[in-house]
Amino acid sequence: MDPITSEPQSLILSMRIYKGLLAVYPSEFRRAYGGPMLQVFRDCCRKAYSQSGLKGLIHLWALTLFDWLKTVIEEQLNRGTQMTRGKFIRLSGWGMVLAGVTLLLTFLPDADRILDGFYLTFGSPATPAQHNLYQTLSEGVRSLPIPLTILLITFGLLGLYIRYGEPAGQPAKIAIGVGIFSGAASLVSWFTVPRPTTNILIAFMFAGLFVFGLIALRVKPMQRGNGLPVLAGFWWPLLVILTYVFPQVLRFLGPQVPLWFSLTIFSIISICLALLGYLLQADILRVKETTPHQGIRL
Amino acid sequence: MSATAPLPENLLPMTPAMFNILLALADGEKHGYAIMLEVEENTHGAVKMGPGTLYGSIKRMLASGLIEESDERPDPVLDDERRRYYRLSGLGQRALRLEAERLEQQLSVARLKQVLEKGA
Repeated sequence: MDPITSEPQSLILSMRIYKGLLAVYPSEFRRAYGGPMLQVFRDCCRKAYSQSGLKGLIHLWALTLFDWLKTVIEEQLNRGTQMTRGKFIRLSGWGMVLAGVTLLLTFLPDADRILDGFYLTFGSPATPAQHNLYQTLSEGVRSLPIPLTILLITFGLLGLYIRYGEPAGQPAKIAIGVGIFSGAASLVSWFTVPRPTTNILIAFMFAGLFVFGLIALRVKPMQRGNGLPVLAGFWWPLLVILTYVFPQVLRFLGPQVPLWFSLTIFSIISICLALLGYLLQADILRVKETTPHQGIRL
Repeated sequence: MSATAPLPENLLPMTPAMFNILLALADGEKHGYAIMLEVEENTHGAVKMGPGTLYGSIKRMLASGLIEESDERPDPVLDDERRRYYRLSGLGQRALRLEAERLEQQLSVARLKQVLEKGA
């Protein structure tokens, strides 16, 4: 026999109403705690009824309705925050993937050299029509790829911070924080101050990613690809150091840095950024399992 | 994945609900209703938690590692075996002690400023 049927009618009705009210909670919460909540409410009802009869039950309902309303809002908002967090991480992951693409677009202004090299190799020079088409395209995008790449990488770093900051620990959070700050500063400086300053700020952005990567290699906060941040973050700071501190090293490569050299390094960075972004957005399922500590306020 | 455990200091100051639940669990594992009754008793009825607040708090405290669900179930003769029992984790014990120390410090400041005498 269902023990509920041996209770007074007012208790049975109360429990049925409360069971109905539980339906308003997020399904995940309801599945996990709906049963125990109903059980606790039943215990409360029995106590209130045995102590003060119907009057006690009405008083309990007043408290319970307030509690129900407050916690339904809290849990629904909490669910919303989780979803927003997840969406942001996914978007920032795709942003990082796009940054890999836009970084390679920075070579468009050198496309004539690529085309010429190709045609020179295979004995067929680039036609004026092809050259004009390229000129039109490259002029249009000449000023866009680098700031767009910085913006997307900064966005991606924010996603990394939110997703892996906690498991990777405080030093990793500081490293990504430096990266984010430098990314934002370099974006502003791109349009306002001389180029060397911007390059150095971009180097700091990548350095932040690099240091995070070093920590990630040890702590392994990601399921896969813990070496990618190191590979993506290493090259730009190295190039800036070589350019501004040890220019004689680069002179070994010739009077001008050869295209193949820059293209190789940028391709490595691009591929690593794209892979890192892809893994970040794919890690979204694990985000749902993690509850942020800032959500501890009750 | 090797996640680093949060520091108890990062979980302070605690909300009254969280502190009271940890305090209720300080002397052993309890199920939800027992926690609710003890909180009410410890606060002389000043804190009355409904099922939503209780289990919303338990959910967050489980997620942050302050409490753990006990695997042991009571004897069906003595208690409803469907009840879930909770206990303090190591982190929960440290956080509770730190919060109690913090409150004690505040209380000593209040005493120093003769706040308690002024209200009398």
